Amino acid sequence: MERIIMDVDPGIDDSLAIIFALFSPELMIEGLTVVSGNIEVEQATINALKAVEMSGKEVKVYKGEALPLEKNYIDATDTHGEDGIGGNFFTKPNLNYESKHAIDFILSKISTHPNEITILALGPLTNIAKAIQKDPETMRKVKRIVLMGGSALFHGNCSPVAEYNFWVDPHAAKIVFASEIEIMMVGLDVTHHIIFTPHLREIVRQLKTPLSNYIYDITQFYVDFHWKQERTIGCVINDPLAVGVLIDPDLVQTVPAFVDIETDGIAIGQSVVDFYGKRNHGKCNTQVCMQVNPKAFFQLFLHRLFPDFQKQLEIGIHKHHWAEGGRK
Amino acid sequence: MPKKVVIDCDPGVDDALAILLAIFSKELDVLGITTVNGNVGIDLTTENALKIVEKAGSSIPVYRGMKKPLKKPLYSSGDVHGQNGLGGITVPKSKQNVEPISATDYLIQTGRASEGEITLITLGPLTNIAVAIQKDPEAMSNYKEIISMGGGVGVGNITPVAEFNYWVDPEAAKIVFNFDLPITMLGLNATHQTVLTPNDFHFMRLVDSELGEFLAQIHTTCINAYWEFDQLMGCVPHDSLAVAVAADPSLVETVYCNVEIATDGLTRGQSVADVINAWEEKRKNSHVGITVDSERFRDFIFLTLFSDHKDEYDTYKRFLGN
Repeated sequence: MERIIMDVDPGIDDSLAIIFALFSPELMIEGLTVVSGNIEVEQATINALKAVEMSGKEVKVYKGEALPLEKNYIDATDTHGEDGIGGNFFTKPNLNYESKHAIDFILSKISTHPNEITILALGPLTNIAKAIQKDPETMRKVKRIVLMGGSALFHGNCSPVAEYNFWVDPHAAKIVFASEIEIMMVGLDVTHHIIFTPHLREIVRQLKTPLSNYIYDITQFYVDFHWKQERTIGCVINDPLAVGVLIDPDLVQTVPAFVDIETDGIAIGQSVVDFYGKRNHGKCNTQVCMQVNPKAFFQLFLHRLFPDFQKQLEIGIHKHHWAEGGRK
Repeated sequence: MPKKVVIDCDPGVDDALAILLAIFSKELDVLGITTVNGNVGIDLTTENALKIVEKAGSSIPVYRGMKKPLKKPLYSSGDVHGQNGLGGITVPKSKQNVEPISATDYLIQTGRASEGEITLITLGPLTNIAVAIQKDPEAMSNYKEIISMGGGVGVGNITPVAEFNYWVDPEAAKIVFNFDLPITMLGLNATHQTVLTPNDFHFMRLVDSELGEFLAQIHTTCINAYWEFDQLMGCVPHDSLAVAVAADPSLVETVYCNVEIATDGLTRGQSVADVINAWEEKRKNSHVGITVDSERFRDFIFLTLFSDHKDEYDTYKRFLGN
């Protein structure tokens, strides 16, 4: 079992990722830390608590940073809805977040479990970068960081070359990649193949449980947005893939690379990926995911969320049209 | 009527092939060749351009251009193109002399005298074009279009994100892309769809012991470099794609979008091509090459170079299984 701190900015796909992780026995979720990203940190914290409540599991939630290190903050409510989870405006969850700040929680957890904690970072890297700035000695004892962010050969989603999480706080991303902590980057190269299609959503809807209704409802806005913006039938759910990779590394194929982040100019937020560190004396700092098996992912994802519906899910997944998952 | 073109280049092995194609192509009428510092220094690129013109049995005038980038210091890629820019192969000096006026003056004069019918093909860093634009924008706006080998979408060669030509002189590239002239950008994402393999060079040798042998020889260092660096067997005919697209625009599918050149930091020299239309408010300035019809592009190369050997080429293609 792997000890995990999940750093999130829910966010529709973050909400799915939280539930996926909490339903996976391989992962021991030590706590959720929240950061401003898809939506500002106050609402993101409420959304994280909502996802925890929907899961019926117990995990503590810690509120983190509200603003990027240097850049002006820009949310993604155009993608995620005004409340960050599809504009559903659910009733407030009956849970509360902890009084301890996210960064203090991260540092204390790592101190008590040196070299055992994996940070699963699904939002802008502000909390993680600030923890590194505050106590680099302790952060050296992070086992590794698995993060959703960036793009190597695929295009961006905020600019032609930049992915949202890095683009929101490029200075934080730069600090994290320079930290010498082992990183696995789950970027757009693979996540853009993880499309929660109307077909798959309909399978979920037909299960008619409170959780399936919640998932169907929060993804509606996201599906509509994807058609308007990218002409994709269905929504790309980036964050759950990072959870999937932690559970089953065989879902993806990775290539080692040296990754650095542009913090200035028109390419701000771009992850510059130097495969095999060819231009860096062979030195690498990241395993970059370049190929994925989308069918295997959705099998894992949906079966974990709805373990009581094996047969229905199997039929639905089997009938789905599956495309190839990326290039080498 | 063949299309009138001026070729700005830095030969360079792949430039050499591209120049030969342009001269031999029935679709193109090469009015002049301007040289620029790039793959090797200006003395060598100029000398090489003259040698290639002579090799083609032509006497197209050659004009010497800028010897260094606008701001960046000199950089040479001698390992790919050999120390002399022609794969280290000794080619006798041309009997033809370089023209007395400079490349930028020639570009301006030609622009001034034209009526929007001349295409500018650029195969090297954009220093000459940028200087000419700065000196006389009106004359330069008389060109029909620019077809430029450079940049790339999501891929670099000299850095993870920047292509050599634009990286050598990003300030010049920025000036050219900001200038109001239609640009077709053929970057690494497009050029890398076609590779000339050892089979291809051997076929060239077999059908033409003069020109074919010459091309096979000058590409040797290039094959070594691609193998060592990219584990790619063969050479990518980058520059030839720009010439081929000038001769037949249907060889490539393009996306019309904004392209901006990064001039600072980690991504300096990158062509940021907005193929996803993330920046709706920015001016669309470029037709960015996306998908190349590689088979027809190869046909163009082989049949233009060896027009007398169509039957053998067809046999060779059958051998390759096309």
